[in-house]
Amino acid sequence: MHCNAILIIEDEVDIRENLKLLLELEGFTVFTANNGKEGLTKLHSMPRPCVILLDMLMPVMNGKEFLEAKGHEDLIATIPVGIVSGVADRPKMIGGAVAFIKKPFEIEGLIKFVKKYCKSSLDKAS
Amino acid sequence: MSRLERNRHSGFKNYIRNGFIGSILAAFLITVLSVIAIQSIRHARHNFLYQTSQELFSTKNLIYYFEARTSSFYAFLLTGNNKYLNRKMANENGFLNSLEAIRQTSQDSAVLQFLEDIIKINTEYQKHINRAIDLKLSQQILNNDFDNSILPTSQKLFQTLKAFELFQQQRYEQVRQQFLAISNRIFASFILLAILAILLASALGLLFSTTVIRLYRKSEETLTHLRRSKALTNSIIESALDCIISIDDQGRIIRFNSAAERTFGYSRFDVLGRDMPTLLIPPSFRAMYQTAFNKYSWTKESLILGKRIETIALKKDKTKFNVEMTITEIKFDGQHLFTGFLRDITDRKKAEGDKIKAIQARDELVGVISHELKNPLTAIFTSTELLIRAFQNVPNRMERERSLIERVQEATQRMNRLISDLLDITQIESGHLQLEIQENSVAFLIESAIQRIQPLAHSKQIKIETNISSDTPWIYCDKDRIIQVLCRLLENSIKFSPDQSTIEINATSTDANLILSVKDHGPGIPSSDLNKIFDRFWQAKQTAFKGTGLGLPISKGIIEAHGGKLWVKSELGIGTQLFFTLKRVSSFQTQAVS
Repeated sequence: MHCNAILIIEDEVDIRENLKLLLELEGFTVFTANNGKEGLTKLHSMPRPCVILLDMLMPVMNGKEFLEAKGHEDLIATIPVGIVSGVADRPKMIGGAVAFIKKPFEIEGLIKFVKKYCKSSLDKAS
Repeated sequence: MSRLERNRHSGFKNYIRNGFIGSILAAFLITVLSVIAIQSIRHARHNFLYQTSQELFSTKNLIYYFEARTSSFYAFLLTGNNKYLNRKMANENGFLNSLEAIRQTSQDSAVLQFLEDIIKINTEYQKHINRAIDLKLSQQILNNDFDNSILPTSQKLFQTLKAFELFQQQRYEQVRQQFLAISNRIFASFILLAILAILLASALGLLFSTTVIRLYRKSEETLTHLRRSKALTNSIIESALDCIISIDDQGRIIRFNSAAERTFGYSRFDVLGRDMPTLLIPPSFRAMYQTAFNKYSWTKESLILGKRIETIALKKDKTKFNVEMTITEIKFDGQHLFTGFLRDITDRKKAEGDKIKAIQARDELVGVISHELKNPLTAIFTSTELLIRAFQNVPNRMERERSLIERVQEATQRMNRLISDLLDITQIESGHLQLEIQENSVAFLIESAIQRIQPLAHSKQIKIETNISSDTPWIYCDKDRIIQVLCRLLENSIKFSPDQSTIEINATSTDANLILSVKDHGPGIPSSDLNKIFDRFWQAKQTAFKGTGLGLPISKGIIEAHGGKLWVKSELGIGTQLFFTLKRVSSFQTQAVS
């Protein structure tokens, strides 16, 4: 099963691109979206991701709304989501959310979390 | 008439009734004494005087009959008319009857002696008279012998009778004197008794009247006192800054003080006797008020009576305003009265609202700033991370640049930590700290904390010892937060411990709690600073050590949010020990989870 794709939904371009680069260096295929709405569209045009990294506070459609919308679509409802956010309070774990990773995150910790759900192409090679 | 005046009135009524009964008793006593005295005098008069006077009367009769008989006799002798003879016979009978009467009543020996003499002389005199009458009837001439015999006897009888009369008169006089003496004595006694009775009655009257007067004065004083005290109460109520409004059990206003007039805009003459809810309670609250009032009337249960509550009231101009109110109930003249003490708290409410808004604004600002700071921080983090990784692939490694980047990363971490601490302290102070309470193993929590802190401990070659027995109970807590607390305490200890020293973690359990402690062998804290260590930024001001200065206040806040306590013991030169408590899972439950 082709499952080393990751979707990053994050409006902050610096974080989005850095994260993409870091995860690509780790051997994952990374897709990005600017907000929740774009994320939903992307989900239908990309290979099914093994995990979604989701920011909470975003324009157009925020993380909470994305999770609600995702939860209503059977096809994508079960994809695990790691919430990566700077919000102080732990958000509600709905719509497939499995973890809350506080910003600023430790890179190692984040990679460890992603590896729980995704197989890296580097691991496959080794 | 007020209750007081009624009481006073009935008091006087009682006294007057008692006084009246007393007077009647005194009059009755005097009457009885008078009757007794009169009866005694009458009795004495009968005993002593009546009999003697009868005797004296009879004695006087004797003389009358004697003279009448003698004159009848002489008239017969002169005229020879039988009419006189009959008259003489009648007088003679009267004489004898009188004698007999005296003899029957008198027991005096002297009297009896007199009677005997009189009868003897009379018998002789009778004999002479009868002889003279016989001679006259036989037409014979009376001789000198007649005079010689009859006259001396007659004279003797007369003298005896006179003597008897004198004796009787003297006797009567004597008895009369005796009687007078006795009756005087009785009368004197009566007078004395009467005087005594009058004196007694007067004394009683005096006592009664002084008592009445005293009571009257006292009640007058009490009334004056009460009037003054009422006036004082009135002026206190009127001068109060709080509104004081009383209603009767029908909800009608019976008291409305000056403060109430000022606050509500009504004059008391507008509201007295009128229905309170329609005047002072906003329409939307009236139904609620009525329900509560009715419920109280039936069940005597009230949620607000005697408590300080905040509610909304209605002014005359129909504006609503916030009031703080206490309602009390009193029973007066068998009626339930309710008094409300109200205070306009519009200004206070506004100030409170402003304060809450200010705090909310501050928290919001801190939240927003912290959050907004986190994004650039994350960008810096990920960038430096990428750079470090990039350098790993560079042949000569560029050590200087690499260390510069590491310094950027370190500074970013410190900044991140400060932001997290600021967010934490804001949450703790606003009471919005969210906890996910679960059952956790103490050993696991300590192990996790040690693991995290190990690099720091290692840098100072400090050994961390844990003294936890295998039967240490599990605890209810938010896992992440307690690991955070343990890390902060350990970090603190490491910071102040000399190199190569030991830090001890101990756990002891009581019935309901588990006490955890972290002990170091640092310099200790002076007792004057012991209560300052939980102040925000206090440690940060002590320049010797780096830190946000929020570690201990946050730890304390987290433990207190768990319902526990955090405290410190320290001895200069020996070390410092920080303790905190958490609720333990009961032994039964521990068995279940393990």
